[in-house]
Amino acid sequence: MQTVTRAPSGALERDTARARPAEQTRPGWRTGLAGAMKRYGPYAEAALGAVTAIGMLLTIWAALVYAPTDLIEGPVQRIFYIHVPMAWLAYLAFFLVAAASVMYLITRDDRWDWFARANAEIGAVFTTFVLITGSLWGKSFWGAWWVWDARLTTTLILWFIYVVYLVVRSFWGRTAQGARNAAVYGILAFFVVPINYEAVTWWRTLHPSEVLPLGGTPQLPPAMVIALLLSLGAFTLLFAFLLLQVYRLERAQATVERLRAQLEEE
Amino acid sequence: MGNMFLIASYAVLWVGLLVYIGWVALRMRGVQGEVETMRDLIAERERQAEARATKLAQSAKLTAQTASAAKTPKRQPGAPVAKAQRR
Repeated sequence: MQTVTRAPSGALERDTARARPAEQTRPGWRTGLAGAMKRYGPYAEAALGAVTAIGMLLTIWAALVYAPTDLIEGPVQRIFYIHVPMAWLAYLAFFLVAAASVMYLITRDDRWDWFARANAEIGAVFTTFVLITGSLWGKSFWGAWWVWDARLTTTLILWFIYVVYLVVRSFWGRTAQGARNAAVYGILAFFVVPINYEAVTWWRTLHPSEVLPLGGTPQLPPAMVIALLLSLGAFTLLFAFLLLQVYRLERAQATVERLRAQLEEE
Repeated sequence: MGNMFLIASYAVLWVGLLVYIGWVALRMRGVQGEVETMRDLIAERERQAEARATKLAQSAKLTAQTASAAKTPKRQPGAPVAKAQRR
């Protein structure tokens, strides 16, 4: 039996490496990349955290000071600079869930499953903030916290779908069968995203239409576009930072499950 | 009125994000603690198994020695020494 020694740092990485003996036979460049990640990973992570924090401070400045006040909506329009990037990143997270699920079904590599799970969690969190900030804007502009508008309703459905994904995943546990079922669910769930995106064009809705249509000209003044893009950049960094943390958490939880199984076997 | 909703939105977002990051960090700490505990348990069990194996090997060696000693015929006092033994 292999001797397990306690080490103060890098313990989880070694555990995970042991869980996948096939990785030991990887080609050279991959081993080099893994080594570089191990060596410089903590610095890169700290740098990402610092850049994200600076980006978020810049976003606050751009959204509250730099961007001009909207003549019709007034200051409440500035919610737009946090609401829209979070909605886009939630779409990205759900796309990544579907893509990682496809990759899991092809390769059966657990890392894709952890990645899908991490994206689903962050996507659900971002959608929660989208619903809350949207509701606050609606109360101020429409005079109602909620209306059963097509965009709002499909966003709520989207939120429920990914919350159910997370609940069901904890219910199924970390088994191969559970991961396979979740992958199929993750792929099917993504079909709601285009419906949600197109809801403002397919149906008559109260929700404002797209301000930066894909392939079209922006319907905003340049200062607002700059503030929005800055905010999108900062929130993308935040998304990457959170994804890294939650992915590591998923990996650590998988290590715990493996060690628990090892203990039970003995 | 609009300002109030604007402030509420930003406050909810920032407080919510900080709570979420804190929750992720707490979960990470908990899982790492669990990993360390399990590693210690596995190491302890392996030490015990090794000790048991060493003890078994020693006892097997002792048994073999006793058995070989029992097979060797003992010379009676006063009995003539065999030729081969004399040489």
